[in-house]
Amino acid sequence: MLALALAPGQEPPPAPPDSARSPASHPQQSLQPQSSALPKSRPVSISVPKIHLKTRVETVATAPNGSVDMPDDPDHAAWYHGSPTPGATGNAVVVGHVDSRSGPAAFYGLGALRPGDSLSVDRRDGRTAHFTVERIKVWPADRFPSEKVYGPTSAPRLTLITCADWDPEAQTYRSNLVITAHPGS
Amino acid sequence: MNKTSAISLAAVTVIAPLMTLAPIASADGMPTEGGEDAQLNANLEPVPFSKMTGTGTAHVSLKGNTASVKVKANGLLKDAPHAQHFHIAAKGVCPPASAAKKRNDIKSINTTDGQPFYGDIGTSLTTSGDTSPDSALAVDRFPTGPDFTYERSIEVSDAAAKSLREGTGVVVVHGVDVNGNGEYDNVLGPSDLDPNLPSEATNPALCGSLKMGAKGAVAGGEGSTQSNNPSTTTLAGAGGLLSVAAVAMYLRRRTSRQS
Repeated sequence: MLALALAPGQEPPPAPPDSARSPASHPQQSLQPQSSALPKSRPVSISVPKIHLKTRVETVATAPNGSVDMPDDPDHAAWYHGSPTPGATGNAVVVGHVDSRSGPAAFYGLGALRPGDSLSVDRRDGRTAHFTVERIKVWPADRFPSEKVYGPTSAPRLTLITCADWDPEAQTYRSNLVITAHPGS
Repeated sequence: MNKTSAISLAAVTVIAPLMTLAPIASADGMPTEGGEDAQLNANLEPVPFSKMTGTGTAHVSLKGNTASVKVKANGLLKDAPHAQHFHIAAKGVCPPASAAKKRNDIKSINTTDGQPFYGDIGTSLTTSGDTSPDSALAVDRFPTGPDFTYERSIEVSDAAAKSLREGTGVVVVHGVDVNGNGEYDNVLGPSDLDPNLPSEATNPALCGSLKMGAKGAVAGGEGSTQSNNPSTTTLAGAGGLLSVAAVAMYLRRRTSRQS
């Protein structure tokens, strides 16, 4: 009975580092064109070894409220088709649920990532785009810097987004956890 | 002999044929009185067979008919003018490789080949003066390669504003050098826009669809992993033991949150 209570799914997701909540410090926009850019090809799956995540990547569009839609299956991640494909030039946006109605979802463990951790995206063309976590931010939903998070970049970048900061009164997440990664492993 | 001035002279004669190509974008413009503000982004990629290796980005902030435009491009032909436009009101996409035709035995995509995909010229992204389709080839008023950052606030036509808001606007930067000899020449024959210009000078080089940027935080969780969520407590509610566990975890979470 107790074992059941402690089963994964009842535990809040790992907390991001404190620095994720500090005001935007280093304005890092790598604007130099990067020779390591891969050609355009849709993502198939994403792997984040540190949190034992390997899952399928769906394709989503803009949500009715203007944000990015979420994957149908909470165990999947989703690539925003208004952004470049991961590994190609530009800012590729991949979103995922932190939890579902029944337990942890694909991006449950994302808060455990720290700068320097590696992740990769397998693509339809058979190539794998490797990335290194660069920075971790928690942005409140009511002050969400859309342009900074979704805006274009001249170099390949991967932006992962999920929810953070459960609000027990409102019964909703108040913030987004935003992780940016640059090419390289 | 300065290629630029030669081309800009030639450009004058080009206006007429081009206007047939782009039958006045604003003519059918229904007044889009105060359309919603829009933030649009494009990643510029090489057009197939253009032999381009450069890339770029474009950002458009649209308020009413005022567009604040920023285009960054790199890897273009050095010291050569690069005409750039919003193409509008077609499929809103860049031409695929299958749009190419053979000219002088070399596969290429010229401006007309791309038209079914990106549409007619709606706005000329000139550095000064007129920005209508009339200035489509005003090469003395376009940025020069190899790299440039272009920033300008311009009034666009109703048709262009409408197309941009609908997500069918495309940024196209023109001017290629497929034989890599450092200048626009006739390797691909004459331009489809004006036989007095080389095709290399007007062929599309970089292209990107302007898409509405996503806005706002995502809704990526239901809260079942939060121990103070009633849905989990109800689920666990069979035994008081579980509620105790839930409270314990709640406290633990609070602690970790504050650290």
